[in-house]
Amino acid sequence: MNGRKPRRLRGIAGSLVVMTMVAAFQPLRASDGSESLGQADSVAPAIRTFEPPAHPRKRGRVAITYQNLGTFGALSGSGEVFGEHETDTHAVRLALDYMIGDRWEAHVSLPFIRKRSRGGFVAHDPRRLTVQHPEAPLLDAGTFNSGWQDLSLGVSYHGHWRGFAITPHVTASLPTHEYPHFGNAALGQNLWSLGLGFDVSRQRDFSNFFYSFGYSYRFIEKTLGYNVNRQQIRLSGGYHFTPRFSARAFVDANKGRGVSSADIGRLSLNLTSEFWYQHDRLTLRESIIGGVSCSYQVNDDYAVSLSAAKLLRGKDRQDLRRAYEIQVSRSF
Amino acid sequence: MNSNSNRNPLAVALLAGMLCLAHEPVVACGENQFSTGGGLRYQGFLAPRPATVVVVDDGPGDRDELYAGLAKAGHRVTVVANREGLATVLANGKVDVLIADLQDVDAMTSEAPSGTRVLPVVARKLRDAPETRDRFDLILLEGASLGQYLKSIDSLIGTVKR
Repeated sequence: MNGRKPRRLRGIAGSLVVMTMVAAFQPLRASDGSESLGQADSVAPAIRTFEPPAHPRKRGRVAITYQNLGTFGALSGSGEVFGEHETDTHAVRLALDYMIGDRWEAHVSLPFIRKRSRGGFVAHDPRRLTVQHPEAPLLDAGTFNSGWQDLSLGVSYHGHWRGFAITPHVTASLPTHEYPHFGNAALGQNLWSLGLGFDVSRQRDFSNFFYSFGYSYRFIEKTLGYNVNRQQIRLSGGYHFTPRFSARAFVDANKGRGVSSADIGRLSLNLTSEFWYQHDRLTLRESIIGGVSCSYQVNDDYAVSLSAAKLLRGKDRQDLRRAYEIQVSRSF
Repeated sequence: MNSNSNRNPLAVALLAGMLCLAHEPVVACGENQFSTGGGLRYQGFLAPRPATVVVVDDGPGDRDELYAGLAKAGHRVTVVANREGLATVLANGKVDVLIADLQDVDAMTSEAPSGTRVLPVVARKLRDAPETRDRFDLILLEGASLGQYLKSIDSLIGTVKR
């Protein structure tokens, strides 16, 4: 961990899991739609008043998300596919969002990853390394590796300007424990990061069409002195077909600093160097991912969404061939 | 007119709440999660400038859902069944927009202070009648949707920016 080891956060992670589960599986409350639609008070038999809601009732949301990802081979700096290894990832993410006052919102999320790598030449073999790392097991033996990944803590501010919702945000990501990072089947990179960004969104007046734009910059813990910070641009547009059902399309572009596949190959010294041991943290990993998603609001409390995504363009990264997601959320 | 031109900040916050910070993408040698962002929570339509609206409607309440939608968008809506009800409401405060059936408009506006904006509800067969078009710049057709109500109210109070 480059001498800067993140604090072990298993205790916090455990608390978050318990908190999320308890909130998610509380019994449904009785729904009284009249409150959210405005109250119909009988001032007199011939007069009825409909007041705008003073405050929306829901201040928080818990969500459980399952993602299924599959990759086959890797993409070079020119976008060509090489290698025959494939990975399967099952990720479950627990998330909690809560409004603090009228403008601020706190966010906590924690993913549990289960991943394996099969086929092809096993390039991530720690026994080949010149400097041995006993903390690094062989991850790419074809079996699943499981564990909690990085705890994400964030806060956002909800502003409003000329019909646009403006939401700057800050997010810190901290590894929950010292998980191994050397392998296609690693849980993650085991690096802390701090992300700054904003999102701008709008639902046009008297229209069910909405769209958004977002940008984030993540400061990531340096590896071997290399700057591996990353940028992300997000575009999204959608339509509310009914108050309960909506669909949207999204595009995410990711670009990072780091080291190209060609340089990694040159500096790996036949897969034996310390540089090779750290290369998973250093790769550029450029990508443009596009997808579609639909959401259904089951009732006042529960919502379900389905998403599918495709790698539209990628360089210096693994070739994402399959990406699906299902999310169940409960507002409270 | 109601001078409160700002939307409820918490409503705006929740509008965007699902959109942001779904999570940061996490990557290893291969992506372990991908970012889908998030949907935009449905909030109905939001009125750019909330107003005080009085509707004359002696019906059995079958349009209450529409009136509730106006309220959810930010308007304060009072529904009166007759002229006496209107007089009671007018005695208690100012009205920005008065909505009434075309045949009732004259009787009802006689109760309202001068300058009250009137939005008549017109039967479809009378939509192009000269006496309708010459007299009113804006009308609502019978059976108009919530969106049409909101657009007409906003056009009438001159706040729709095009």
